[in-house]
Amino acid sequence: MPTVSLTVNGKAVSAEVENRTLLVQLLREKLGLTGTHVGCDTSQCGACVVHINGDAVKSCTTLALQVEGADVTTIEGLATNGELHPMQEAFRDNHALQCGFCTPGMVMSAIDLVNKNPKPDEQTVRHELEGNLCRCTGYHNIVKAIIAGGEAMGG
Amino acid sequence: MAENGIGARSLRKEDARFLRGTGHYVDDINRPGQAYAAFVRSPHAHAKINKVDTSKAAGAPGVLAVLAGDDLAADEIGGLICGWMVTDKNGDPMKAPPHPALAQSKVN
Ligand code: FES
Ligand code: FES
Repeated sequence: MPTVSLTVNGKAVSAEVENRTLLVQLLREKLGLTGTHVGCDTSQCGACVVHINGDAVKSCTTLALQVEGADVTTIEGLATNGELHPMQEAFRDNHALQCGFCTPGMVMSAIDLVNKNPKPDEQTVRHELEGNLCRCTGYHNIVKAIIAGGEAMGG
Repeated sequence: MAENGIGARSLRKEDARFLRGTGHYVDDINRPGQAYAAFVRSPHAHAKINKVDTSKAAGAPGVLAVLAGDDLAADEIGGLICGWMVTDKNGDPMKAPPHPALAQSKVN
């Protein structure tokens, strides 16, 4: 089996994977990082979004072997010294989650969104969020949280 | 908005772990020796089952068991129950058709 080596949440890791192993399987099953969720495995729900070299990517649709040498950040890697990332904080303050299943993907997408569109307006946030589904919240508070989180990130 | 008491804002206790990716959902459970179930669905929306041939699947490496509707029936595992039986206007119990967990004789 081939080996893939990469950086995950700042730590160098390597694992043996099959050619068909998906990035999300590598993260959840080999590295025990179960914060990244699989809601559909068909690129629809966005529960599996992680950052690859800073870009939000659906890890259910990425082969583990594609991330050789890459820098991957998952939801577990956002807090620093126990302090929530401003976007995580904004989700909490704005009640942007209920069951929390979509939340890791939402937060990862939201951070990339704000990095690329500082100070997004509501319309932009709603549009950019088309790849992330939430079955609980009705999106309203998620949109509010992303706008607030963007401000807190200094965007 | 009131600062405390009725109407006060309160932050949820569970959000901290959900936001850090440390929630624990069923799919996150991974115990030593854990088995997995896979469901094979009928390619037809409504059809009579003539037979289910499980021999090849049962012979595949690592397979612990292959169960079809008849096996559940033989094990006397009942169907899905209706949690809220209501009565008709005249007091008759509602008609609840069987809902086997795995299709038996017919796919509906
Ligand atoms: S699990 Fe990747 S998009 Fe749904
Ligand atoms: S909070 Fe439950 S799916 Fe979004």
